[in-house]
Amino acid sequence: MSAVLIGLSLLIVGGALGLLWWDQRRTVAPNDAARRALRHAAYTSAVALACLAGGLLAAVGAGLSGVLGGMGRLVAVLPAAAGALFIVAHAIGDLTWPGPQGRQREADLEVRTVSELTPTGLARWTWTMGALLVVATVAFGLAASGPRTISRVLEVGQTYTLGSFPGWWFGVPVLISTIAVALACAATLRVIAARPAVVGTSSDWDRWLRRRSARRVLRGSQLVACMTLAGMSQFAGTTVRSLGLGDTSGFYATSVSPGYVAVGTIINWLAIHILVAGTLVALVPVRDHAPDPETVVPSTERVAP
Amino acid sequence: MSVRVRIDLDSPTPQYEQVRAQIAALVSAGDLDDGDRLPTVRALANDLGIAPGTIARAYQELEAAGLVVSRRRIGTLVTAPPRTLVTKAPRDAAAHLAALARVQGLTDQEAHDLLAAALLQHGRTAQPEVAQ
Repeated sequence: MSAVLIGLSLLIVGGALGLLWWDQRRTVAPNDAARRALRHAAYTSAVALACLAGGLLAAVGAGLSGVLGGMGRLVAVLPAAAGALFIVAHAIGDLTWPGPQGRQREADLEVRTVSELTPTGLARWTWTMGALLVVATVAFGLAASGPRTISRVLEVGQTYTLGSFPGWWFGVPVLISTIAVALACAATLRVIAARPAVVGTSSDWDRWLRRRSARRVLRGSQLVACMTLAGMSQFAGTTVRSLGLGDTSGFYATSVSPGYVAVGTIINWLAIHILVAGTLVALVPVRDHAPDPETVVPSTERVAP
Repeated sequence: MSVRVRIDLDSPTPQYEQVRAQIAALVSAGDLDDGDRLPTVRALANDLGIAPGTIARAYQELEAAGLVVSRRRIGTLVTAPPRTLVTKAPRDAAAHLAALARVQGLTDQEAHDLLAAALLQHGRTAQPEVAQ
């Protein structure tokens, strides 16, 4: 099992690094500074991706193999920890972005805002997934009858309780880590907007490179939110379904509740779809090629004496 | 149209003064209009590869001169002075000086020195208050 996971991890990380290398090679850089910037962006993304893939695969592996049995809270926050590492790696890459060289320097007096640089649809999707995760965690916490259990009333004075359920025992660390990842994501997008412009390139080319960095940060962040949400939902759905099916054998036999079974099944169905959607958003390429340096029309410039 | 600023790290003029003078010139020339937003201190400092404090000081000096105003959450906005009749004659004379300097082949520094000398000859009058 562990050999398969390690092999799969190496395959995914290797494939992603190969994709990054190919993406960097195919981009036409207008000058040396642009080439240096592309290389820096590729290294940053490679390190960030290794952190993310490693963390997520560790979470999946721990969940499937039961290595961290009894440490469910740790498993629950592993995706967020991987996301935090991914975002921190991007932030470090952007904070150490190559600046202008030489004794004579110039800069455009243009305003760059985060909203201009982030793809609108992707940004909305990411924040929506983060908000859904918070709402779902709070809902599971409120539905729980104990820190890690959920109960169903059978008749007056009798309840049927099952665990483990993502109540506040799991919910609190997940909420804290989700908010931390969201804040780190927002801060890193601001760093991307403020990092030095690539010297000697057009404003369009520089914005394209910023847009690409912002897209990578958002893609990783939404994947983390989707994986955590899917995991929590799958966990909750399975327990709710079992609660609905009841225990039809033994002295304390309980009846089947079609309502609970239906709710549990729907939550499980949603979990799978959220995971698939998050993975697709993270992996499916978008058509946003670098502006061709030869076709970029140089803008009129005014420089004060 | 993009508007740019340049700095020369070897120039004896302090970097904040280079930035301040160029933005002031761009406002006077009308290349920066009333309400235009300037980049954040950190973004412009990163683009020029200098300390954020240098840009912050340039913005402070511009604000003290009434050319920009800093607002929380919005940023730094240009507050271009209206082109009144009072400033028209000096503006025309400055344009004439610049044209003559170009015709005579003077460098920008020599033209600046000529203006500074003329201002010295006419003595100091009504100095504007500068933020300490």
